[in-house]
Amino acid sequence: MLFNSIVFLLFATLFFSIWQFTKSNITFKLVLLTIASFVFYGWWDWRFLFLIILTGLIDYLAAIAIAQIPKYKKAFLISSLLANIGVLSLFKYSGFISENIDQLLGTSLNNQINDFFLITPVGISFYTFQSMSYTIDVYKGKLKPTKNIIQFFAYLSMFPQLVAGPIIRAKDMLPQLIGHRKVTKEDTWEGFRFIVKGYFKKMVIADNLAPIVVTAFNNTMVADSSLFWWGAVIAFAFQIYCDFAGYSDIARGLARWMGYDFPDNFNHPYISTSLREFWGRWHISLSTWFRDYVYIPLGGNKKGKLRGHINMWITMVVSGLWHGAAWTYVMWGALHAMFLSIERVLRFPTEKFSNQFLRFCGWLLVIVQVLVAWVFFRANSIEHAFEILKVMFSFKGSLSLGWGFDGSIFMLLIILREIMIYMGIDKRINIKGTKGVFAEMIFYALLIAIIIFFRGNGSEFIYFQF
Amino acid sequence: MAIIFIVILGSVLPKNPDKYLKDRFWAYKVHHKKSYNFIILGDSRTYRGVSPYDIEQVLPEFRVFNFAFSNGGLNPAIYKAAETRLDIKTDSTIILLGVSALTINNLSLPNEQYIQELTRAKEEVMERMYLGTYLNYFSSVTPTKVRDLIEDKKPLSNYISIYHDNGWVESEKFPQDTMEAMPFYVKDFELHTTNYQLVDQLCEQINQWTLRGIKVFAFRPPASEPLISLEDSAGNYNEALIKQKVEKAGAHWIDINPTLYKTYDGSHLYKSQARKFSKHIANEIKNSL
Repeated sequence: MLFNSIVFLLFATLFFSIWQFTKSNITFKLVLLTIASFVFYGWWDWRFLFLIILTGLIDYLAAIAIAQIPKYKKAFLISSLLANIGVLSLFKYSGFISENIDQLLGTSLNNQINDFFLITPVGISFYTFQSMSYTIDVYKGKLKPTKNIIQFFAYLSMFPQLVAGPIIRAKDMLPQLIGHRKVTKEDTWEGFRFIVKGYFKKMVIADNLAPIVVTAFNNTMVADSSLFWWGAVIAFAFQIYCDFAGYSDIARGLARWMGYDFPDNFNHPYISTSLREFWGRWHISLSTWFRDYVYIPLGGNKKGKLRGHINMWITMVVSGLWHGAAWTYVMWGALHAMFLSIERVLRFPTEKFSNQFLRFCGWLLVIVQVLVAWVFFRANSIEHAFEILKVMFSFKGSLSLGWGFDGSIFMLLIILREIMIYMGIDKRINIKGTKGVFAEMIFYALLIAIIIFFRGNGSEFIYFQF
Repeated sequence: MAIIFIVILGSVLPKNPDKYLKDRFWAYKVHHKKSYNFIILGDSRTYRGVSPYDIEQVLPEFRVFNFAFSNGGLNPAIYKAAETRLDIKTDSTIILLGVSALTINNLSLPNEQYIQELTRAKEEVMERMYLGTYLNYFSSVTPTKVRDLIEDKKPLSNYISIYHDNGWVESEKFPQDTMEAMPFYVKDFELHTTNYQLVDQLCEQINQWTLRGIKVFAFRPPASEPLISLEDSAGNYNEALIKQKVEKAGAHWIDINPTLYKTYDGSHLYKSQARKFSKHIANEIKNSL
């Protein structure tokens, strides 16, 4: 079920109508949330519900076993990880792995894989990571396992964030699920703001930029104009940002309406003046997941400078592979690792510039690096990405960004918004009192009208595929 | 407050009713459950060129449905789908095939439009079938359309399509340009010409249908003379051979004089011509029943 569909509007209306009656009855709440989440997921393809239930059951039991039989806790953890990684490998990577083996050895493994296993279940990377973090935290003693299976499944399958995050840690969410928190008027208003902003980002910005990106990248001939490609990559950068940040905002808003708090997942990444800062602002729940469960366990930067770089490369490449089963994603991760390594060695750019000119130079360098990496993320193949980069850096061809009048309007809107954040103008706009409330009311009412009348052609959220 | 803005913008901004009618038409064509005892198959030349109303006038005992699609190929996927629409309980059932060059080449083999509609998410189908009229009020617009509205630029609507539930699209386009469709056909025929294996497959299917008591009729959809010649030469369409094979398989081939019917783009018939043509087809069928 897509957030931007009429079915979801009906589903959410029904869900929140019933949710009102749960009040302080925790069990009723959890059962309702779990059933609703299963319906939400099953709407896409009910056959894959078994995957969440299977991996969930394994992790639920493994966590209890880890706590109760400490002698074998490592074995239980390994079983849990193997089950999760196994399912992920089977459904997300079997096609990629077999294709590469076939190319290398001339075999025909790929043809022998059942079509069912070549379908990547929506959101599989999100819920398996969420589930894995639970058993790892229990193993490390950071979290006590829950014996309430409904609580566990309500956490694991929670529909607002089930298919595209943010990835919520069990230690943050499990206590919220069993605690009683009254949804205040402020919560309702805050949730409403998140939801409206989320829909605006997704349906107005991302969906209206999509045609520019599709026209550029899906064309078999690579256009011979540098500016056109810079325009296309910038459009993609904002498309993917607004698409994903929009989803996260809607998820946060829905959670707030239930009385739960989800952490911020995006914090204006394109205003970063260092790549390190970028990764602290982009897909925060995933970046911190990789930091806590991959980078730090590998030793982080505490085992020497070289080892620190190696660990970072491993983390970034795995993160690339998490995004998709293709070499282009691996390359995207590796490029970011390389840029981060250079930044670490040179100690430039940094997020702590006092000089405005240097700050701008740092920002420019970061944005160019991020855009170059996005080319690999969106291109159809590594060769395609190199062809595009070749044109981008040849500085030739027509002087058109290829956005057209419509695209330019939407690009202008989002770029102006980010400039306001970069320059801190948004903080200076502070209308107090009744005037402020009235202004905000008009602003959100207008946003709703704009979402309805200026929505782009609806499409799936990009991050569903990851 | 939001409702006020929505009402104001909804009343002021331009609408696109054609989109919703078109979406509903295709969703209905593929997903509705009614059955018929006269089914028409083919491509856009057929769904714009054959009017079930006029066939029913001549053959009142038949409930006619035009089940043709854009780039609609005559191949097993569509045969199977057509059979599910055929009311086999009635005494007499007819399948009418519009056999253009594009229906029997590899380009139309995937039956993309039909498959796209068939695999559309169920909620989207429901939305298109039942909510389209209401959603028209909330039609999305682009900044360009708003600019045109402010500058009072009227869109040039010279292509009129009226979508009917029986699968026919009543069409008009002004001014007439009988060469308009030619470049598309030239491009298509550069890549794909008539596939005679598909013709044999079609004949096999006709044979099966006739054995089951279904009467099969076939025709070559009319087009402008240059397009017919292009179809013959570049498209490798041998009408005499196809007619011979189809008739051998048990179908009745209806001969058409393409010059009798006017097209607006060289490929598709004006609505008046489609009605005239449909009556001719119906009379031919009546005479051979």
